[in-house]
Amino acid sequence: MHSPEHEDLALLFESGELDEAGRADFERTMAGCAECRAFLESVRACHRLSTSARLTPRPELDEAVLESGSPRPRLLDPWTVAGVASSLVLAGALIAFLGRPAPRPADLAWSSGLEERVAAAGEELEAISESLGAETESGDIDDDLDALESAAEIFGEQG
Amino acid sequence: MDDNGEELVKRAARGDPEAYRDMVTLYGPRLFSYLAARLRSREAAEDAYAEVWLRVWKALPSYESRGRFQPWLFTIAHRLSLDMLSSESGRKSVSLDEPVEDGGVTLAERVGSGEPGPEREVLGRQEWARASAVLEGLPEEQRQTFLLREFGGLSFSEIARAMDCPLNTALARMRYAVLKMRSAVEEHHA
Repeated sequence: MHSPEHEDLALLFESGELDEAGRADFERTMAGCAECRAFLESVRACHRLSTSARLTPRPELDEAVLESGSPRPRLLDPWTVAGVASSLVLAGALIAFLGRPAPRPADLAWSSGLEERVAAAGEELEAISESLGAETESGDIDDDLDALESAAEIFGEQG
Repeated sequence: MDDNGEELVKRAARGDPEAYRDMVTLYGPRLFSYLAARLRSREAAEDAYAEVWLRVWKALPSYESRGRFQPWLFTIAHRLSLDMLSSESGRKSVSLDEPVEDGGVTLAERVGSGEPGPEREVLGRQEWARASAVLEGLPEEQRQTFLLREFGGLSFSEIARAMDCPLNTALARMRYAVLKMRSAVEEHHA
């Protein structure tokens, strides 16, 4: 028995919107329904007619459309550009930080002129020893002076 | 065609001008046919055609492929044509049945005659002239449904979404349109 529902099914069948089971059902229905087949043929004829009546836009119109709206090639997308720019800024800041002149440590400033002061202290020590007449072995004094001079050299290199 | 179309759209979205050209070539005739029939005016169809592609181009970078570009394209065309028709009261439109050339030749007759117009259209046949007269007489919703299906290639689910109506309504509109055009179609095949 033909009904509008069958025609709806014919439309869905033709548009490919029925699943496999639905298609099989409709094909079985169609086999026993001349009106269904006639309606389906009308749908197909409408489609053929519409296809034959298709118009083509003027080539100049298509060219104008392409000229005005054709996408321009994008070398880099905006996120890539932003990422590269950020990386460059960070790298520049890091290079500037690492390449700056090393500051002279304030706590080593006192070592300036240390050698002269050590030499003066040695002379003063010898003078005191002589004035006291102490039996100070000169070798002991020399050892002390050597130690002081070594310390001065070390601090001088660090400074 | 849809698979190829989707690939073209993806390439165009990446900025490939050649893909854009191929896309216009692939979808252009369907789109132009739809707009010409929908707006009943060659001039308006050309304006709309350019505008639709411009909108597509603007939206392409954010276009997310959900399987079918064509329904998206024709939904844009459908909405634009609605806007144009609603604001067209002061504008001269040319019906398929109104004379558009010297000598009283109608657009439908010219399309059906096989005679190339100044726009060098690929012309239909006499049967289309008869069918288009029937199409002209359809209620607007039936006509829209028919055009979206036949020129736009939209499924009925897509037509229902584009026209914001239930699926059954879209099917009923198409059913009536087909039945009313049946005589013209059958005459063509007689």
